[in-house]
Amino acid sequence: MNAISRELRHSSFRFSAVPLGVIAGIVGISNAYPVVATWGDTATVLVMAAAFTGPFWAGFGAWESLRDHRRELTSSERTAARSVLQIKGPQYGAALIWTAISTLIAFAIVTIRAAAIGLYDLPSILALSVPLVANLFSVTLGYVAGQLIHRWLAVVVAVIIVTAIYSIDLFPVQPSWVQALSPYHRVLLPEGTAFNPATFIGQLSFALGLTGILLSIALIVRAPEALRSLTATVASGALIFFGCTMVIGQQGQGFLFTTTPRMMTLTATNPQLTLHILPSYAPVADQLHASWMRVASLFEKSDLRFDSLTQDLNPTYGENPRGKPYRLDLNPNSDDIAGDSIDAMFRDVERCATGPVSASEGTWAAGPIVFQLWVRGDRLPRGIRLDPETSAAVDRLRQLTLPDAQLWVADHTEQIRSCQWRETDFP
Amino acid sequence: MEQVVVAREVSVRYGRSHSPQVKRVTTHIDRGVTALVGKNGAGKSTLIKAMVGLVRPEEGELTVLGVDVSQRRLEPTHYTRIGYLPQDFGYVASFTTREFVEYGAWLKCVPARSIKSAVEAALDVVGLTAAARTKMRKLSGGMRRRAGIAQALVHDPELLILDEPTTGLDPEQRVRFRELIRDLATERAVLLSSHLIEDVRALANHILILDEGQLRFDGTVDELERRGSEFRSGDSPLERGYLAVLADA
Repeated sequence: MNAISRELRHSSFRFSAVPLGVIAGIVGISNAYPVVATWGDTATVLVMAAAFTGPFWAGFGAWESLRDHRRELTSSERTAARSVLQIKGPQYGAALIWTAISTLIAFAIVTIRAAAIGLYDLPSILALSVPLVANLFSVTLGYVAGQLIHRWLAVVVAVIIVTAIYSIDLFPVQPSWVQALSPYHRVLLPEGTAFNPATFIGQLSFALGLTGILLSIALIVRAPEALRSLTATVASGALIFFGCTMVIGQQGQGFLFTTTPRMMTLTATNPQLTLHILPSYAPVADQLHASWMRVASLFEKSDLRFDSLTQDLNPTYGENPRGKPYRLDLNPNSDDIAGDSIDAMFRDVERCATGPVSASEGTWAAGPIVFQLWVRGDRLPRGIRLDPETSAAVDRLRQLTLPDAQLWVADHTEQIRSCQWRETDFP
Repeated sequence: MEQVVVAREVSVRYGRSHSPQVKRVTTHIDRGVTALVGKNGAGKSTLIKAMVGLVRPEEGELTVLGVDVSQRRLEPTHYTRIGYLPQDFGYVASFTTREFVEYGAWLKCVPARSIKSAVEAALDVVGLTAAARTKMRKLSGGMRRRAGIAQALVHDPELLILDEPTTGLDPEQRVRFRELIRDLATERAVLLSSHLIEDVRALANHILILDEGQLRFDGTVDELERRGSEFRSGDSPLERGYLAVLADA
């Protein structure tokens, strides 16, 4: 009888692996970009899911570790002809295998959904390894707590420790590299950046070293074969040292490189419009193009006309907007990327970008929002409710024919740029 | 005759008790069936735990199969020679009877190629072949105890120690159990603790009576019966002997 196969069949992890994998997958999906998908975001949300399930894994690890205590197996195991390591090793190994299977389930759920949307960049194996190592660390911490404490308290202690480690990621901790060493540290991947493998190697080495140190402690206490304990401690210490060195050495760079990614181009005529966007936005390319073609048509006869927009990967907005649309600000977290990118345009063409408009003498406070909603198209932003007067003004603009609308925009360029509208400006 | 267990002035303290549960016991156990008899709390299980190395004696010398078990760490191979059924033995609930016995064989380092035949033989001995695929949690109390015995003897130990093995067995099962122990004792030493005198009468050729941690009697069944010849309480000569020993204590 193979010990690992026996333990796989009887480990309590066989009950928790699939549900926790599915829960982690759901947590991952609910935190992922709504309408686009990237490998970077996939890795990030899987780490978030691992942090969410970490306390559960630690608790289950401690629970499984207490099996001899729960099942009154202590006498049989202590009078066995096998060492503690030989008895506990397969049990722990089976727990790790089930945890890895669970992580793969979460990975599959998040990745299949992302692939269905469209994954255009390349995966980073190192970044995708973090959730697996984080989960294995959580289980090991629980298992070792069970072996050392040997009471139900171990479950509580394991959950608290994992939660405490995770909380390092929630608060600013100095020096900042301490945060980077946490196995639950999630790294957001802004557009125009790429994962820095060296820092991930450091983070993973440190997490594996921590796991090894935990096992060494258990080995020393429960099965103090001197050579094995010494070897495990030295190897784990070396990994921890290597991990720290890598992470600290990469402080200037951190987890991210700045890159110049390849853009995809969308072109159309009548009106002439070229859009340059990241390939990851391909799932919403048609919608983006249609929305901006409409804006380009409306602005075609005015000084605000434009024929090319490029996605700005790091948009900043100052007090001196250029006066007309010239760039695309795409928010991958939005569920209406096209609509939100048009909203962002107003920060470039209007002087009202920096704050709410006050109703100065003769101006109509609702004017900017009426114009913005009209330009945005038929889809209102989520959660917006219009009073009847504003709604009626938007409807009257929508009823204009294209030539009339183009003329109206051309006649009101100054109002658009100044963000000062009178009620009489609107049809 | 080879002495399988030798105890000289052995005292054992277990848990947080202020005084030892076993006090200065001197005896020996040979091949055949030895019964360890006494009231609940007399120290039987504590003495057994010391013999299997779960508790270290506080004083005295305790040698089991030639190994001094009072040393800090026993060689794991020592346990290949001992079969032990604790009073409250546990099991993984999802184990089948076969898996439970297989696990015992694995713990005792039975070679992989021999495990199957050893398990089948052990299940056959305790009459559980038909229940081999039944989950442990679904077995009756008596069947579960027989499975425990199968696990204790699956590796063919030289010394078999059974702590209250007949607890939970019905009369028919107890009769079968006695036959089983008789067979096993022809080739090995069997130490069984019990507070059931009729089991002892049917099985043991050597009786140890513990009372409040002290060894009150160490002799044969006939010797114990003679001790009770003038004692009035008790339904059988052996019972009278047992009660006489306790009364003299």
